[in-house]
Amino acid sequence: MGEEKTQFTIDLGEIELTDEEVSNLGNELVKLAIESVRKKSGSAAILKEPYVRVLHVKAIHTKAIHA
Amino acid sequence: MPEQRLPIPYSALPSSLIDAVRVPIDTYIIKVASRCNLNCTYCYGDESYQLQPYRMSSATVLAFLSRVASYCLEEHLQEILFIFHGGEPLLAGKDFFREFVTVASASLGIQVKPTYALETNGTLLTSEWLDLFRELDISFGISLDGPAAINDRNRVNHAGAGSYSKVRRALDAVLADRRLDQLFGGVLTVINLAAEPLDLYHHWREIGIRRCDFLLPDGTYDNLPPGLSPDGLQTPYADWLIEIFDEWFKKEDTTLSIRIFENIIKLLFDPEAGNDALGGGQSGLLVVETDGGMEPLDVLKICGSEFTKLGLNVARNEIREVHSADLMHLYQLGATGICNTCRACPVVAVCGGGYLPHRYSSRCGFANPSVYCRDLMKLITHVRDRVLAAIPQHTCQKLRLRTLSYEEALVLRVPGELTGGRPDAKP
Repeated sequence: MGEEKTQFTIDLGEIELTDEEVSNLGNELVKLAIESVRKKSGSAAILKEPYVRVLHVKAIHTKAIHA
Repeated sequence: MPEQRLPIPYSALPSSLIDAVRVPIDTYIIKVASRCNLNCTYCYGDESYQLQPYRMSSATVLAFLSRVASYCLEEHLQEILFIFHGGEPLLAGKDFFREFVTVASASLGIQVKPTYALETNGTLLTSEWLDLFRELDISFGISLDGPAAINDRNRVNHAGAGSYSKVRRALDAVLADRRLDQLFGGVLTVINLAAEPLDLYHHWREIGIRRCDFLLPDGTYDNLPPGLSPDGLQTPYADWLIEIFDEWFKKEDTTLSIRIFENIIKLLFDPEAGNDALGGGQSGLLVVETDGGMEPLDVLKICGSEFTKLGLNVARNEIREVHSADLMHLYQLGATGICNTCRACPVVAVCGGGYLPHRYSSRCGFANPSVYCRDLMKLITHVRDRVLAAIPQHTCQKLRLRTLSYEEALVLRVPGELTGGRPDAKP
């Protein structure tokens, strides 16, 4: 019997914001917002200067079977 | 009926383009009672309520739900939301709601799942009503503007007496009953600049409110909200909200959900997170008046007497007919329908041009930025900068993220132009 687990990696194109990096975000309210975005659509976006533009990022769902 | 001055003659557009922005109606605001036991100074309602019946009749409920059932089949909708509204919806009486839910179940069958919500001023809320909400699974929100000294300036009854004490009694009963946690959506507060923002924030925390939202008072260029002047240079609402945001964000206060702030943060990460008030999201909302009249967003009544009247009624018309109305098209456009000034703005992805009624002027129709343009820009850039500060530095460096001040944003939007885009503003 194994446990199925979904891991999220937010692919920011050139960089990735891993679960660990998300957990290291400096504010619980920002974490909650990102988690809410992930739950809603499996995607997120982030701002880029100088304009408040958004870069779509995709969540990568990794299913791992743990023995 | 006044000229609506829509920026584009939508009825003249190709049907393919109209279809592209058409949103199926999945949310109904139902004016179950046209009158209100309060007489709030800032109520957006026009005088047309006086021509409405006091309470929605059984015949109207039946006709309405029959139309909804047909429309859901046509549009293949499986879930819809009914929001009971008014006037004060509790004036419709408990039997009305039992009847409505019974008829809805019979009309919609098992193919369509209805969800129910209600917004009340709280003055009539009793334990019997709360029992009914649990029985019928109706979620609800309560409108309250702050402590008595603030709330009772505007939220008064027809004799001029404040409503705080009655609402507070009801609110305490709601918050004390954990069985209502899932049904109670929280408190809606219209911002009063006379209130000390931090006093209000702490008041909500002391009461034990877990969810709230702060609403900008409704207004147009013809009738500016309190505290805004025609030159468009002031940002009193941003300044007010920022005081609360900074305290809430610094505390990382997850015990109090503040929708406007949470929505801005979500919109910074997800352009699809917008709603009709913020972010330019498209909305499938339709208002059904007490007499069965079908109208777009009710707040558009602030644009003029009978502005929202489409001449459609559930007694005679199918729901799909509202899609032929120009004003409905405009409302459903969301951020697609914003003016050129907004299109060139660096924060448009977050504000979406603001709430449609707040863009109106009799001179230019809806082809204006929001009357809250500068307030929104200041608030959004402030929140953005605080959020960026919470992202690890190496991530910001890799993405070349940097802060964007309010002053920079103003210049980026319209170089050399600092008027806030108001049609009558002077540089």
